[in-house]
Amino acid sequence: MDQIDIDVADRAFDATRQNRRENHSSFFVIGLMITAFLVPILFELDLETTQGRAVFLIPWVLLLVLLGLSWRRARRHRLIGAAIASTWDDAQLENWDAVETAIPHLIDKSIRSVSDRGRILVILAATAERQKSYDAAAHIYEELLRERIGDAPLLQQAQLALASAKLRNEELADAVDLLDRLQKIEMPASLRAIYEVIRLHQQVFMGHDQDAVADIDDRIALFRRHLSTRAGFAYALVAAAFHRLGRPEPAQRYWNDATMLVSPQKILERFEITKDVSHNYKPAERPL
Amino acid sequence: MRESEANQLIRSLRRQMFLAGLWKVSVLAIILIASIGAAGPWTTPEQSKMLWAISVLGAGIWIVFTILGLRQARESNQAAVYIATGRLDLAEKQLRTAALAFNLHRRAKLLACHNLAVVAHGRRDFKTAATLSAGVIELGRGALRGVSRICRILLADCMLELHNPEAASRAIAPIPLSGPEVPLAEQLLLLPIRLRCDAAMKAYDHILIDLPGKLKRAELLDSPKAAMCHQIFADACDHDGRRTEAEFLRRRAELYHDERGAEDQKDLAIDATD
Repeated sequence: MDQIDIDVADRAFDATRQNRRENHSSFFVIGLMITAFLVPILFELDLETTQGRAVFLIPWVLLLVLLGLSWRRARRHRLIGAAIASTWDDAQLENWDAVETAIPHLIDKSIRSVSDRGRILVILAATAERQKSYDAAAHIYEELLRERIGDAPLLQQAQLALASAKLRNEELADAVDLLDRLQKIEMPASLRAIYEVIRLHQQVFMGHDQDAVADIDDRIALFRRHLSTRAGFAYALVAAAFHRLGRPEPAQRYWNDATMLVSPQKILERFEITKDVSHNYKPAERPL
Repeated sequence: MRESEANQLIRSLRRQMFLAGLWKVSVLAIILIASIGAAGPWTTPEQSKMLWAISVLGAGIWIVFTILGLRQARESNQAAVYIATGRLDLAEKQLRTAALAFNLHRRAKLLACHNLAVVAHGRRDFKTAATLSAGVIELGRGALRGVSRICRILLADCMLELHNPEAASRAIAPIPLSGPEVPLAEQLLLLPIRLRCDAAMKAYDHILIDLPGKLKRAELLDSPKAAMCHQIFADACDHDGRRTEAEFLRRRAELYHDERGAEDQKDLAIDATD
């Protein structure tokens, strides 16, 4: 797939917008059908002739046309929905080649379901982040939130992802401002854990290492309880903070925990800031 | 809802679905015959007009029943909100009404019944939940593959709670653990249950089939379930003499969750054999 930039993102937003004229053909057929139903009531038909009696069949023929049109439209949307669901699953399983192959075919057509549209745009943003097009990713998240595309949990995640993308794009003032605002918002504990990882990244990124390791036990407990495998990324950031503070023992311990859950390569792809740690400390052995 | 009431509900659903099928075929046949009769040359003009009126009336009745059915389906969907917010009594009342009301849509009735099973499961009434789930699986055969799969997973979970891992294993046997035909969300529901079944039946070889694939999916589970799966993988590796992998998996399990929680979950599976 080509590099995702802001133009590609804008085109995706335009193309996936719901096609309001999609139902016009059905409305036209319904109009014809109602008329055909009314004709025998309003007019005196010559029922002695075949042509006169054939009028009775017209509404049913139109009904079959209407059912055909509806079936075709529903099938089209079902196939799009299934393709988006499958791409979403691929993204979860980190089959990025499959995701990048599927995306161009999914962002060039109108998507009726708001939640499906939100999902494919989030996948597009995640792919942009992987390509290190952080400005495009931030733009997608901003537009998602502005147009309120997707269900409530998706939009809450988009807010957090926007803060992260801004941080990676080095829009530090905006990122910190957004994080400060998010801190005041009530959110489920699982999202709060993700928020804390982004805050931790911001603190390590800006060299506030002492802040990063303050209340570390509470943070670790939160990560452990809610982040499952993704806690590995948070442990790597904690290790980076301890390393910079000249405390090699906890740095080694957290780097070991991090690489026990996530491979060092994946951690480095996601957080370049952990490069020093990966050079200085031994990762956990992963026999599987 | 008690188990006997659940059995009664399933019997009633079976009868109603048969009647709804009969109703649909009859009304369709009436519309078809009346329309053809109205347009055919073998009827008099008066008969033709009457048959036309009958066909239009039949279509009108069909539309009214479809709209009523959709309203009932919406009500049973609303009950899902009550379940999510813990208002189980309210949910049960609404779902019972939706399941018992005459409805042309088989899907709406079965979804209501499935949601009733979820309510019973939430109350830890596993026998009732199992009866309702088995009913939905039986009545939803052919169509409704998605709902049937979820019901199979729910049934297996109930059977594990009732210390019957063989029945649990039988319930989920037709569902593949990976592959494009089963969405990832369902694979993630299925994995811990299948592992619990295998662990309870000491089928360690089975646990180790496609271990990397299973591990990849276990990594996507929430912390307690991921910990439990890792513990089971570790035990299976131990039995297979793969000590290094077992140690690695056990240490990962500790990282996912406090050991006690994971052990409690695992014990539940092991107890099932007792």
